[in-house]
Amino acid sequence: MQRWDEEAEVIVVGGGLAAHCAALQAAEGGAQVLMLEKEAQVGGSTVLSGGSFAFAGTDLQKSNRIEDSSERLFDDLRRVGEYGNEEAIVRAYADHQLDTYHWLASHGVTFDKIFLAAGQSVPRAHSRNPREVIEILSKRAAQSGRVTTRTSSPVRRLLRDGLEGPVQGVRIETDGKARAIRARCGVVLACGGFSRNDQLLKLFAPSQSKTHRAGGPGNTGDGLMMAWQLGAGMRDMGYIKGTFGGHPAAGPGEHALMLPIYVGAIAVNSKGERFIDESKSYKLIGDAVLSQPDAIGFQVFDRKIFEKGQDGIPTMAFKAKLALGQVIAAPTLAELAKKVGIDPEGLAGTVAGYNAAVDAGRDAQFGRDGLSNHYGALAKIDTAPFYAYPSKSVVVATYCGVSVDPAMRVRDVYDTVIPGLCAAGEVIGGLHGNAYMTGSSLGKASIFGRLAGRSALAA
Amino acid sequence: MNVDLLVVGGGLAGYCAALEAANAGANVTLIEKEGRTGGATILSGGSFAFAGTPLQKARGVEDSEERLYEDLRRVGGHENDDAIVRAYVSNQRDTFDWLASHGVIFERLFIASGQTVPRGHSRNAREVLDIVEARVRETGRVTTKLNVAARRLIRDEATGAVTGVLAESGGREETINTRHGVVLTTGGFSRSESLLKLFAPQQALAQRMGGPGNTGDGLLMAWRLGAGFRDMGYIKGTFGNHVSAGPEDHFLLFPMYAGAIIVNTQAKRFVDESLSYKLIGEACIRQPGAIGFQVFDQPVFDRAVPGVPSMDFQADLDAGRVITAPTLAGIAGMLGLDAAALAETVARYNGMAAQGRDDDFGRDGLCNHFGAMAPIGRPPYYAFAAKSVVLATYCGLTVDATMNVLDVFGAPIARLYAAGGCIGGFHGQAYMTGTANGKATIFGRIAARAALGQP
Repeated sequence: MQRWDEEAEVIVVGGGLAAHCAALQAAEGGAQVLMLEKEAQVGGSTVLSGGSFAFAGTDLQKSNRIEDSSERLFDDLRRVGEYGNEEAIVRAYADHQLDTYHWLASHGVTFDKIFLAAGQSVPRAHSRNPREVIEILSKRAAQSGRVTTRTSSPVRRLLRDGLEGPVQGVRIETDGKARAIRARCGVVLACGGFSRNDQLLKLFAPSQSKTHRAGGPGNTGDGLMMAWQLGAGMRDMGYIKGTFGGHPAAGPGEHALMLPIYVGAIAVNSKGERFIDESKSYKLIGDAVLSQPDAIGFQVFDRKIFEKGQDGIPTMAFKAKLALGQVIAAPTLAELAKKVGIDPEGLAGTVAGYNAAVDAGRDAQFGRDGLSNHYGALAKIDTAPFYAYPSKSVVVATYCGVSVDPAMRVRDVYDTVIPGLCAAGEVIGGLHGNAYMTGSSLGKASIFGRLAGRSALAA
Repeated sequence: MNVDLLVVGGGLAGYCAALEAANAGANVTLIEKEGRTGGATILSGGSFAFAGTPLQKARGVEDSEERLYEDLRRVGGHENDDAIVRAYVSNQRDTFDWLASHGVIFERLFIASGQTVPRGHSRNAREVLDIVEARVRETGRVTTKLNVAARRLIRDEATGAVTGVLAESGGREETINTRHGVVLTTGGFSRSESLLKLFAPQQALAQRMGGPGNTGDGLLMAWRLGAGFRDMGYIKGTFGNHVSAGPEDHFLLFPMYAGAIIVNTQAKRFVDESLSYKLIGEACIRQPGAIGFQVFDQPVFDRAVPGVPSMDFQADLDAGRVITAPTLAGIAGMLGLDAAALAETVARYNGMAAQGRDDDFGRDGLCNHFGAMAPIGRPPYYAFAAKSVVLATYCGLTVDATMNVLDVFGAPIARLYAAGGCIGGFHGQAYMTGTANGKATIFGRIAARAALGQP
């Protein structure tokens, strides 16, 4: 018989957004919750993210005269994922998203900025500083009186009843000592993906060896491996891709993605040639940049596009990146090319050709027909000063993982639920499929975190 | 009867495991899901990668274990598991002799993908399996059951050791218990669309091949027990299968390794044709229609190796898969290629071949730096329209050097062994011709011995 050192009703593994939402939801359901975070601080990958949430049909969209709906979001998610994602999981996201938007608001997480980003057919990225979001939810969890948060507490194994029985708790390791903690109701894995685990990346995505890596330092696939040891199924493992837009000098803990392409910049290689329709998902652009010389691209834009930047939205914070020296400015295209190491003649020819295509209303070369995903009109790149942002493909998140049912209960390799085990956030697979919509990571963390918290309580 | 060892899967790995165990005195049950034995083995080209053999010596080919080891590691991009490659290398000569002692004699030798010297020992794969099966029957210790599919592994609740399987036959379930454990030799998953989509969605445009039973049963059963994986991201198609092939046709033909060039539908070359056919396969799925035409002339045709299916050009000419015409323009017409573009491509290649230097793609030989490129200019001309095909998955369960399956954290799963197409860690990035049959034989034997505690 397993001897327990301690017990709770629901154990939540991880301390990012999914973990906080699961813990708070379970606490609201009346459970005593123990949240175990491996790192010294909570926040995980969430606090490194761009802070966008993909919600649809919100009051913020209405006040900005943006027509959107759960059904439209569902269709967009399926299409962006090229139907490689799992319909029931996408449906769970669409069905529970608006309720989660209101739930977040009720806890004080409100949004005041909205913008259009990768994979969205209408502006749907609800933006808020992600560190503030974690702080607010952390405070709410503490105020509930039912959530205990413990940092520097790495969970090493799931403990189940016998070989096939329900998950009953976890084994953690603190100060070199193993302790068994019982979860009377259930365990929620919300401990992120594995973008910081080179071995797992090599196993599933060796083609991404030339990418940069980002993500929370604790994102080493602990949840995937622990569930895998219990026979959990997996989804989307072959779709791991880098995301375009990371600066070559950025470190793994720095959220450096910037995407002027989605307000009109073009992307060129070091020969000055475009290599893709820039309105596509940044994951597909990330794939394309890997086959360019030195696996590097340059987002090139002009003053008009620069002025569309939005302070406070990391992917659109052009001014901040200019101040950091990551965005390079020059009075002419030729000087810009020289400064960043693009072939000047190649760039001149490409921009001239692109501007002519904008005038003609047709990009014969790559078929670009909007700023992002058919939305928004293209603009010429013709007003000095000109700007360039060197960009690589970065594995910011793995977007794949354990197989879950629509209630976020983990399923084994034969699709049978493993009793007592739920998962949410980046540790799960099935939502994204072939590509990723901006805002769907924080979206799924909050929406699915709540579902998992609820299911764990009922387990 | 008391079952000492249960072998799941009736291809070459399974039969080699069964024979080795029976010869060691064990009572063996071998179950096969399909109605016939042979699995993916009998669809294969029938070549075995062995080094330092009497056949090589008789042909004046210098080879050694160390050379085989270096080749395997290099072909795999050094991403394969050193211990598993070592296990292959240090047991291969013994296994060559073991096969010979059982009557499996090789008479043909040829060079193929990934080999730096001719190392493909060839024999009709069905014949090989028939011989091993006959030896297995003669032992009187092996019960073979067809149409019996393993569905789940069963473990001892107290120790966690694998004690048998839950099997299904004609809708009825039965439990098969075993004293010394289970050897999984169920093959890969090239016939499971859901597993291919999970691990290799980019291969959607490649053809599929493999035994009809190759749906990943062994992988799934061991995975449910927490088994680790190796090499899942390296799943690739193999170039050279005829466009008309169905999943159980083996229409692979490699005139490129005798000097053919490969062009796309625009009559342009797109790859160094001397590379591993897996790397050529990667390049091919990015071409229009995911198709590549191997174009060659009479001198290339004359380098055929009759009797080796992938190098027997006459056989494919007789079957209508190799086409021929007196001129290049005639070939272009038959393939629907632009004749001028093809002429230009061939002329450019011929110029570079004469210089011995391919400025476009870096080809420097016929196959893997071996042999000299030659101009394509002596009629008649030939062509073979090919695609990339996922013919085996070359990845799978994590095992140690004794073929004991390891869990995701590296701990052994007691009494569970695996060999052949369902293991990972051996190939790494790319595959050397003859190593699928080689590892089936070598690792099948190792697994049986380890399970019986006779390493």
